[in-house]
Amino acid sequence: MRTVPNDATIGVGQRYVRVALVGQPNVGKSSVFRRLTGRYTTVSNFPGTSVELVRGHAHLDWVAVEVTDTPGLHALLPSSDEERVTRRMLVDGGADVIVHVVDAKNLPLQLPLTLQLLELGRPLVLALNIMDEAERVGMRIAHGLLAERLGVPVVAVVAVEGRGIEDLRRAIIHQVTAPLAPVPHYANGVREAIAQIEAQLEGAYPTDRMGIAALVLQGDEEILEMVAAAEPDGGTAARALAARLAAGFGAPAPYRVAVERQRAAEELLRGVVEVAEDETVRWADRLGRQLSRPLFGVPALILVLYVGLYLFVGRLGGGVVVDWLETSVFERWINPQLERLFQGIPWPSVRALYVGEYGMLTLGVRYAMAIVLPIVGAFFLFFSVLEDSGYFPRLALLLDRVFKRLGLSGRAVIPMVLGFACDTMATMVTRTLDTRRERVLATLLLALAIPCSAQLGVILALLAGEPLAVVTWLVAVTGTFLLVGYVGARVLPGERPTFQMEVPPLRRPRLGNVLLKTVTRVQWYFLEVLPLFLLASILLWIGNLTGVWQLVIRGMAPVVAVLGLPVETAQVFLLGFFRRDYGAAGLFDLHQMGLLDPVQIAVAGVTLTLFVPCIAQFLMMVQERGWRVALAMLGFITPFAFGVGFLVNAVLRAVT
Amino acid sequence: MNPVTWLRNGLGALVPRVWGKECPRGTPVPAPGPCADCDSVSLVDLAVRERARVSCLEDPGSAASIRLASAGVLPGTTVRLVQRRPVFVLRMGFSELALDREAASRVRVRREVGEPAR
Ligand SMILES: Nc1nc2c(ncn2[C@@H]2O[C@H](COP(=O)(O)OP(=O)(O)OP(=O)(O)O)[C@@H](O)[C@H]2O)c(=O)[nH]1
Repeated sequence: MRTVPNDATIGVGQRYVRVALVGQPNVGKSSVFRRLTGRYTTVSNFPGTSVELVRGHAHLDWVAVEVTDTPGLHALLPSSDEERVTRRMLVDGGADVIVHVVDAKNLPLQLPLTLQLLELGRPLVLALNIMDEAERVGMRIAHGLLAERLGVPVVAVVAVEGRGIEDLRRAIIHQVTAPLAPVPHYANGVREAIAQIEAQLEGAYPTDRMGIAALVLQGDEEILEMVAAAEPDGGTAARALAARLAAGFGAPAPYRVAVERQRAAEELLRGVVEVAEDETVRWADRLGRQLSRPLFGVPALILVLYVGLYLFVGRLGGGVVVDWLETSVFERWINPQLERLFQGIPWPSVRALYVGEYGMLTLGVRYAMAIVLPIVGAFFLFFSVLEDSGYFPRLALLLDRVFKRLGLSGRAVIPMVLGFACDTMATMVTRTLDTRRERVLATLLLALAIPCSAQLGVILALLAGEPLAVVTWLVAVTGTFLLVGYVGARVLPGERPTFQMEVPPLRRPRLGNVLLKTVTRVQWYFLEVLPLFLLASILLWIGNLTGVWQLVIRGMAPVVAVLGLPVETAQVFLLGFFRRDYGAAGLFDLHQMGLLDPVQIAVAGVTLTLFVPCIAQFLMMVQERGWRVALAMLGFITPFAFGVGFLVNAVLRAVT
Repeated sequence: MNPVTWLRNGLGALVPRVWGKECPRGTPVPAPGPCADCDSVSLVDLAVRERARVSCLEDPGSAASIRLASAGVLPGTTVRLVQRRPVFVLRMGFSELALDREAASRVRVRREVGEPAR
């Protein structure tokens, strides 16, 4: 029997047990995480919502634990960046106990990953989640028998209802001190090959050598580097041995290993899973298929956009609610109160910091609360419903062909759609794409042509009632997206991506989860946005006092004039540098004052949509793609946005 | 047996190098490839609702095939094609996997006998 290597037991000075929730995408890891820690991370019905590690603390009985929610993982041999995040954490010994969360009804497909996790030599718990759906389709799992065969606790869980969570807690605690499970046996020489490589390894590793050896056998580059650093001979012997053994398989090693692991899993499940394969085609399945077919899917998409975005977010959120907040709440009630309150301050310039033209309260807070908040709230509500229904993966199937033309695959639809919620978050989600080329293209398109919810909402509210502007905006932004994608795909070298994606079932969104998610997002948004809005107000105030602001505006005036816009819009673009939505809100304000004609609205709307992303997104671009790429994108986007604005103006003026 | 198949089978018997081996019972001879055999067809040749068992993956060392393997598309897995357009969707147990033509054509399957194509 194996023992835990010394450094794997809870380290000196470490006051808690580190528990990692690991599993395939969309199996409910985030839901389990929430049950264990009480901390909310995004739960959605599509693969790839979590792309980074999220930690939370909790007490299981008297034991303090730190629980980590990890990005979905198909196999320990990673094929995308977000999988690499999880893999690195596991291989670096970042978990004292691993909980493998599986979707119970897909246990036969997911058990091979359990076996890989066992190779890492860590205490393990297998959580059979989404047990309710498994029961509903008449699946029975003898989990006692499976536990016996695997040598680890197997717990049935329904995370969304909290069922089985208590058992899961107990199992985790039990595993902290339990002896390790035996390693599964792989036939046809695979197990022996792994053992031979393991015996060859002498260096110190943060995890069990068996897991390392298995990955060396599969030729994993990152692990080979790790071995090269740890071995006295630079890993040459291990590498040579692995190559020799792999050559003896008659098939590429990763494939051979996967096949044997699958067989071992089948063997373990013999007599454990009892199921009548369900062949009834539900109406949800039918609807799901239709949604991904052009004939039905395209009209459905247009309907969703029209009802959800235009009517609900633009008209209701951006129109009715914003009007009410602006006129009845702020103008009639709050602003006069504030003016009176600050009347006591004798110096007008200081007073202006709070309640003047660029005042923190009259501008910053008002923009955030009265214009952006209702719009963003409505958007997040709409978005959460769609997200939980499982509509987005269908959209990915529908758009795969179009995206192929842009050098992307249908997988990129998910980050693009998320971009409409928040481009910053979406830029991070480009990790789920397979190649660097796809990630760069997706990042560029997000920065250029995908307006985030706040911006989109404000712009929709602005355009509402101006059909010419709506159409122009749609054509210009979609055209830019397609054109830049098409050209970009031709300019950037690299191979064509292939498309592979799990399609989760269509589910009825749960009201509780939808509301919770909406509230969490609005809260997060608000906390992120308000300080920036206030900061912008302060900077504007300083600029205004010192005269720098007027100078900059005068400098911008010719640029704005070229676009055929009134000089006041110069400040909108400057505000846009802080956040695009802040700029858009400024535009909205100008429109309310009747300063813009339809052509100008269209031009300003298009330019601002394409314009530089907000500071947060830019920083995320730097984090994910590096300074060089991020700056190059910025250098491309800024003149490009103005160029398109110029073109739109010229065309519209010529036509009308 | 249709004449083309018959001819190809005849040729297959004559030129085993090219066709791999002879295919009995009039099954079409697959195009030569490393994992082609007489009873196996490519996943893209299945009809909607047809059920089959994976026999092998073409070019198993490639990243695309390894990704398929990680998703559970491995020899022995039973799959059912549930959609062909705009992309291929196969059902394995209770989960569904979407593949474009290129990925799907890497999967060679053997039709499950006795399964009526409903
Ligand atoms: N019926 C049912 N649905 C569940 C259960 N647990 C999670 N879900 C649903 O499964 C979907 C995925 O849940 P998440 O918690 O986001 O899954 P995840 O594994 O964190 O997903 P990624 O972050 O994308 O890897 C959501 O729609 C949940 O509501 C469960 O026990 N029963």
